Amino acid sequence: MTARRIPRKRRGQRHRFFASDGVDEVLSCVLRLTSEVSALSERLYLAERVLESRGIDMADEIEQYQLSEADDAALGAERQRLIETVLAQLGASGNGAESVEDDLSPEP
Amino acid sequence: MCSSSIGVSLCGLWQHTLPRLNCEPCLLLILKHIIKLKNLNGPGPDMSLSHDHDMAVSLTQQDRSRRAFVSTLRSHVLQQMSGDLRQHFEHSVEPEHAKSGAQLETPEAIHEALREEFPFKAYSSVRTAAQEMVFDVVSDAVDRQLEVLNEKATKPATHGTLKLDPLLPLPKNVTGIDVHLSPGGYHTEHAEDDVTAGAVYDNSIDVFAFGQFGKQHNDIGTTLSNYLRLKYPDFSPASILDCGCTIGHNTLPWAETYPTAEVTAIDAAAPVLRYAHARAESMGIAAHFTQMNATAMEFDDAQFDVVFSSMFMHELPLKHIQLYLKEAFRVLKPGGILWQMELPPMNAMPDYENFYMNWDTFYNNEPYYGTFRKQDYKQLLIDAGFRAEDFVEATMPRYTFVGESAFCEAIQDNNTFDTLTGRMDPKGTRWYGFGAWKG
Repeated sequence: MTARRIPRKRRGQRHRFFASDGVDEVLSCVLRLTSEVSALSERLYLAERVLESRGIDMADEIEQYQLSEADDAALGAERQRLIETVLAQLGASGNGAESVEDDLSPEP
Repeated sequence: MCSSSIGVSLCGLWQHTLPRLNCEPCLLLILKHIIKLKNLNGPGPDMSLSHDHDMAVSLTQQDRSRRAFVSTLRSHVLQQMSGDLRQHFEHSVEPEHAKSGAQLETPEAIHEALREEFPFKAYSSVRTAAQEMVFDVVSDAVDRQLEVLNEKATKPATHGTLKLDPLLPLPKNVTGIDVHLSPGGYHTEHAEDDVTAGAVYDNSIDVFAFGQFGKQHNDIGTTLSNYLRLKYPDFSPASILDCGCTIGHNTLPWAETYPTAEVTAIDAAAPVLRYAHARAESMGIAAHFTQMNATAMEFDDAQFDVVFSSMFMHELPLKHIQLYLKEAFRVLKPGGILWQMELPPMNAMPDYENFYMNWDTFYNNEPYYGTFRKQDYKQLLIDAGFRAEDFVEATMPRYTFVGESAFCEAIQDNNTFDTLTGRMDPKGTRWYGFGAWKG
């Protein structure tokens, strides 16, 4: 997995629009998860088309496939990236928000 | 995976979440939007169109998919969800207030009346999340290629120049806040001679604007420069200055519109200037990028025929706007023009549009946006030294989208303000420009 050097969380407090604790953050998680599902479904669609064009029945091949150590490592890293992405707004990604001076509020 | 199975998966997630959050109807409505988003018909935004230069990062299929999703999400929020919000206001909130004799006649009153309403919360929460995701999805590819980008940016220049000032004090409105919710803003450096902030910004534009700024992200500069060329054919500027240029995407069109002019661009942040310079060099366009604060320029008096800026002033505190305009007046030659693309002034737009546009003031880390739009733009220029009779303003379609013939026709009647003015919309944004000749 590529190291993340660019911060993924901005400084300062997130705005809260819903009164119930955590709703905005959960919504953010769901949208990020949906983004990942979307990317994954597109990848799968493309894989099916590529293999189909070469006469390979992918469903059967997948059932027979034996994972190697390298496969395990790659899939594990991808799982970790997915978790960090989905949980980014819950502060679990290791890219925590820094403090910020909070006096830049809208001018009157 | 078909869209119905995605909906089922998400329903499962919500079944776990809803009882604890105790606001099931609200969240089901949001879920409805998410499912609708996955069911959108037609091709998604093309994430491989732009960046025709050497600083472009190469994208994997997953990069393209993630970018396409976020772009589609933003488009959905700004069309479907904003439409729902407006409908809720017009059909429910406004009539309810009218029953009790209350008139919602100011953007502030509309904001106050809507902020506890569910459609406003849903729109705002999803829009905020989508904005954060813009920078998240583009940062992956930039992160992977940082060393290569920084190396490319050190190539010797053959067309223009880059002049940085490491001792320049950066203004607090640049360093103190992550503007646009962009982590690190536009000034943060992650390595020596770093271009990261510029690369992230360049990559974010397509995702943010779902292609509305043109293939080279240059439609604003192209439109504003061609407006001058077509409206004032006898005006032939020899020197042009772009203030607050970031990555120079709206600087370079000036060199194309006026090929004999010398084009200079300034910004306070070094990473975006390094990127702007490398990008321009790789495109073979001569432009001179200099690190400088627009509120205290180091140029001589009367040095430029055009002083231009785009989407710049609304990020400045009012005092800095006033300083910048005085500096613009000083560095302009007599007979030159200050010409800027900006958000339309509040006094030209309906109350609801003003409420809608000013959302960014409160929720997108752009705290000066609303104060700027409240100003009398002509008076700002008069206070800076320009004459009232030299004031110019216009709205115009996007040149690169409509072509020269339709553009020429459109700018005959150049003061049409409508709901598309200054607002990104696939139906056809109209840009607003204003400025003044220096008599």
